[in-house]
Amino acid sequence: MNASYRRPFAIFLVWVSLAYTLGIYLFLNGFLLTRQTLHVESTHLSSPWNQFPLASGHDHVEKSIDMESIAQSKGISDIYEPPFQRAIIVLIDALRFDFLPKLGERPSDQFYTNRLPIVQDLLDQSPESTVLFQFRADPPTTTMQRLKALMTGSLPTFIDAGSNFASSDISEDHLLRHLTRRFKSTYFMGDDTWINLFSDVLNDNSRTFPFDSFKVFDLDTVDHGILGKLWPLLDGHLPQDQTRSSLTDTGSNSSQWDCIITHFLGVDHCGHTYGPSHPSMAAKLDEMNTMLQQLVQYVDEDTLLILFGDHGMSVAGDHGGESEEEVMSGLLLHSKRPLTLSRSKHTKGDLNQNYFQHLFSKIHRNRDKTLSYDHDAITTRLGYDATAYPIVSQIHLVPTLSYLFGTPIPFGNLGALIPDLLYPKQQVDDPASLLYFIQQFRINALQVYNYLTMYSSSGKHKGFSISALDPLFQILYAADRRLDDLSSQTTFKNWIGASLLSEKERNTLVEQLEDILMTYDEFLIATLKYCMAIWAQFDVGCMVAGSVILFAALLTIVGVFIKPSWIYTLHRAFNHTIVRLLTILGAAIGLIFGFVVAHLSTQESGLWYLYVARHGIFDKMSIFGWTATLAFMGNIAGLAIAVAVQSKLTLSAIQKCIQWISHNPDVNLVLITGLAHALTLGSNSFIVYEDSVVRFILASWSIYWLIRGVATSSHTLRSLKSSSDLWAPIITLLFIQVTATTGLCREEQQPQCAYIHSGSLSLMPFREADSSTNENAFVDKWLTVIATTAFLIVSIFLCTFLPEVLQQAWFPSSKPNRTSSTSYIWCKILYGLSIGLIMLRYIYLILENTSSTQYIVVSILQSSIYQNLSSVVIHLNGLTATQWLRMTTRLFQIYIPRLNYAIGGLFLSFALRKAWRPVDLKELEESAWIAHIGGTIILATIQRPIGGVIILCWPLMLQNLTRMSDKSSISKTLTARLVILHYLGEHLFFVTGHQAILTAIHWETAFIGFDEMYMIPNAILVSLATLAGFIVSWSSSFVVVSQALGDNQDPTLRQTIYQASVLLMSLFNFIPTTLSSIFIIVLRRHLMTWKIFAPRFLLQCILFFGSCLYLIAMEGIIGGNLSDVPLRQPKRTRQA
Amino acid sequence: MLPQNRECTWWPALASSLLTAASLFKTSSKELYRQPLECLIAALPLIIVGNLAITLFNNRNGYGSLPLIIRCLASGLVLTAVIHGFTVLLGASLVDKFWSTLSFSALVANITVFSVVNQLGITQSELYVRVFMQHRPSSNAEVAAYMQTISILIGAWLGAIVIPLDWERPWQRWPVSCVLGALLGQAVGAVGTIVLYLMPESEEDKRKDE
Repeated sequence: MNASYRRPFAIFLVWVSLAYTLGIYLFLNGFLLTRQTLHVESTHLSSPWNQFPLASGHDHVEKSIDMESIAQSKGISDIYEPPFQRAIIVLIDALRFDFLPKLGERPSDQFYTNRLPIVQDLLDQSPESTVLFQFRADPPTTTMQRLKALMTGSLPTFIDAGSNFASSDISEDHLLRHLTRRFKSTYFMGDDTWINLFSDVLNDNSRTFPFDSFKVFDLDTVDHGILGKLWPLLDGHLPQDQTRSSLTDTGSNSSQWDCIITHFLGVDHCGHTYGPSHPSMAAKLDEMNTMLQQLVQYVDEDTLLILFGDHGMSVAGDHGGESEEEVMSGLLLHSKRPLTLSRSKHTKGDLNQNYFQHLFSKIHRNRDKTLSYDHDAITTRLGYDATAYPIVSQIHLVPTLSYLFGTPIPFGNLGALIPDLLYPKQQVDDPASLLYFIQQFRINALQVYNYLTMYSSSGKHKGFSISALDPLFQILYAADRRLDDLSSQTTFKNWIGASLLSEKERNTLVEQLEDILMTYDEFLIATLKYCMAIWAQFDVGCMVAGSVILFAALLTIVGVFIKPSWIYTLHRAFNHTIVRLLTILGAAIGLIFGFVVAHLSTQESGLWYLYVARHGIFDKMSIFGWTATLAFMGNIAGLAIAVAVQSKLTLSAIQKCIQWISHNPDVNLVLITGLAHALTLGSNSFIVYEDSVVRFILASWSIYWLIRGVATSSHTLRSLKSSSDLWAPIITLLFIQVTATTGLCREEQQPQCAYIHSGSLSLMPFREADSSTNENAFVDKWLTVIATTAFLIVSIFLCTFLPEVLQQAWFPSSKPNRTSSTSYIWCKILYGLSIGLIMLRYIYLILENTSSTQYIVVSILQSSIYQNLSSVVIHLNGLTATQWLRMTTRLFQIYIPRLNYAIGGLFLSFALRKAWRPVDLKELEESAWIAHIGGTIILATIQRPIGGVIILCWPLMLQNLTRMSDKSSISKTLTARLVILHYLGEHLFFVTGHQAILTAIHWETAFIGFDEMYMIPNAILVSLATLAGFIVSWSSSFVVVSQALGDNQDPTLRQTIYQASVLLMSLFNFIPTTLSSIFIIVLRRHLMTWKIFAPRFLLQCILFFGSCLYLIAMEGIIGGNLSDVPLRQPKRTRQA
Repeated sequence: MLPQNRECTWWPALASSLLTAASLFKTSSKELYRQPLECLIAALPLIIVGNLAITLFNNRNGYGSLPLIIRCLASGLVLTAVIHGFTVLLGASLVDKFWSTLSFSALVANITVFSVVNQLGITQSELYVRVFMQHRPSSNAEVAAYMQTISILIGAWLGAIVIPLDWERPWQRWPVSCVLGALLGQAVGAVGTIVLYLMPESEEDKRKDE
């Protein structure tokens, strides 16, 4: 009986999980964007005036004039002359723009502003050969995506963002390929992401020096490593690799370099670890400044120095999102030769630099308008005048560098030339300069045009069909036509003929040429904008199919949740022939349909094309997708028929069901809460303030718990005062509000948000307080120190209560004689030890926060105690401060976490052994407690201090949630407590410093306990840290559920309670997943899709998979035992 | 023991509801939006005095006037503190806008106290415990009191939902939406009381009473 008793539910859970997985797979398939890469390499154009004038429909307009000869006659070369012979590319990761220019003195960010005076010096000393731009990155602002964009000039899509851990080779044409072809000896040193991305060119081990990029705690290794290679190379005595054959060297000066690429990581790592406002940042930037000062000396007439950042950093020092702080970086070009006409001292022709300045700013203004860059937002967010420097998009660098180095523009580039850097070689007059500009822009435009034509012919994407691209091409055609028209005008001919033009004629000519230039630019920028939009195009068909499946599965779960006995009806239905028949039929039809559709969508005609494929619907649906979808549809149709046939679904049955629901307020409230919370995911403001939303739901349910608890047990006012029915909910409420003071602010929550976060803890007064003159300076200075000390004292005080929790874990049934068992004492010692170690680690982390560790270590070394000690312990003597520092860092970052992992693992395995063959449910509860304690140890180790203390003290809270005044309220308030548990999990997610945004991921967690990079453990650590709150909540539900089960002897009732609890916990993840997918379909064109909705949905997907694991564990441990235990249980009850 | 009036009365609930609305919107609806705190502080004495008048006039179980007034005010004070506490626990800031929170709590507490007193009068605590703690109102008057309390509290609670939205409307500011919610809740409670009053008592109920 027992086997059949249990199986229906397990099968049902498997079915639901599979259905959800399929739904999410289909949905993500349609939602996550992919871009085709073309493996075409570009070559030099035979002439910039190829196919001039371009016109639609390939009807070649008669060539009225030969532009090439005109250009030549006017002394306009078609390339930059002479191209630079050498290049030094300095990429400083996360170099935000406000680190670069000279800004007014502001004490608040003294650690990062005005730390690179070399930039301003260069601008002052050689204004015409130094240009500074605001360098705007396209989101996602992750290093790999940025490098791809910086070298290919394309727009990496969101899907690439996920593969930052496994960056793979670029297959598209890229700048580096052309550069290495032009420069025979290209050296690379820095972030190893480059090696992974450009392994086709950076494959010479003697010239590439990659460094590991993921050790964020390590600020110096990469940078010092680079410098250690850079200076010898520049000075011409880099030791050559002996293994290289002497044939290739041919005896010449082997250290000759043409192109050096350096990628410094220190600033980025410093941002991640400490944030921008930190003394370490100042030190790091000072170091960069020294490096640049030295480097500038190697720059001559033929060398171009390019300094830029790949992205900025947020206020907290992280990146990945699309806030202004993250996208604004800087670009500096410097050489000894003049670079720009706009600040040229020598007036060329008769147009002065003012004219060019005006022209360039006009082009930039137009670009800013088309790409909607918000100067005001940048100015307010970053605190410098954003209008003072032109904004260039990151990908604009690609064609510009191609131009400056005389290489072909990479085939897939979408960037446009930066006009400021165009520089005609000879002294030419102004119309000639403009014609030169037009020529360069046309080369750029022609390359983009070729790319688009190729892309549209090779792909089946409907947004890139020739008809869809035509409006863009028309702009280019118009530009060519106008130039053609102009060339036949008399003024132009006169100018060609070198006859003197009157002032007025000249001005008209200049104006016309300028207009044509603007039209070319319009084509380039409009194309860029169009592509940005088109690569954000979704496959609505797949998304809808996914959502429908999610919805169908959700309805089934809700049905079973409302009426638990339906599980048997469903189970019988599963075995029905019609279900199998329809499923197989569906799969077969799907398979055939898939092939048919694959065939149909290749042709550009027919009904399918006309109504479906043309709109990009079901573009990404694979044959597997079709098979699985239709099989599922068949399955669910069969189920519906089977259920209807069996249960004789009549009106009265439905009425009965409705009646049943209305008598179960808990079920209603659970569904309403789940639905309400899921509905908030359809509004960007609610997602932004989800931390408050969760808190509100949580507090409301705690009050409901209070009301239920008070109502169910027959209390009088007097007995209530000492009852846990009253106090447990109130303690929960207090816990929520106290912990709610910490967290991480989303940038959208600014400026109202004032969370205390782990980064603001400090045991040393901040330096900037010294300069403030107000009277409260002393208080201000010491406030954080006092607060931090208070925090530490409170948490240490709380931790002293923690070992007592073990008592509950050991014997909830209070059998005190077991207190003396050795295993108990050992566990207590181990638990106490790891708590102590975790607290020590937090103190270390807080100390490190202010870089006072260095100070303390040095002062200890100088103290007399150390002097005496070291003379006693011989081998300690002679260690320098740095060595000491390294030792403490290793101790706290590697050895202590490892020890804690081991202790936590020990607890977990102990619990698992206990749960393997439990004697009764009490023992199951015990093992759930032990596992829980082990879990909190591990999770607290990988958290930042504040979040960690909260996680560490969680067992106290769980004790509060499971302490009941009498048995009746255990099951009466079970629903309320489970709901609270779920939302507490979500609350803990926010409290431990997380948010549903990419930027908020604690990457530094990957290296807690590891000093090398191991992909899988590091990924596991990061996900554990992110989901810590949910994991705690899930594992707590084991305790709560097994406690409730232990108090009920009736097996049927037990099964019902178990089933309802499991479904409840999973419903809270399943309802939002389904609804959120529907919202995303509706809001896919919303301004905030990528910023707010998509990350939230991805979190929801991760949570779904987490809750699947939870279901497996729950079913395996409790569900499995539930069917075993009653076998032995009846004897006991009889005895009792 | 004072006699218990089992029938509910309808007019005090309605009058009290109108009074609250009138005192909050006495000049124009803009005032509450523009200066919520000042408006609430100005409205509170009006609401308390007016409700006291209604209660004295309605005095259901012949309680002495002075003790009645003192009891009403005292329980209003206590409930204010309790509601303030729960408001903070539900997410209102403890320090920021303290007086707004307090005046909101005072408003909710007072309209709740008076609607209960108007239906049940002042009786022994067991009755309150049974109605409000164990949720077992039996007579019409108890149901009316329970219903009004619940609808005021739920109204005030639901009012908080609009606060995070980015519509930038004046009524989204704390505590305006919650005050409006409480006001609406009171109105709903009053309407419910009238319906209850008009509904004939069923045979079953009568039998139970006997």
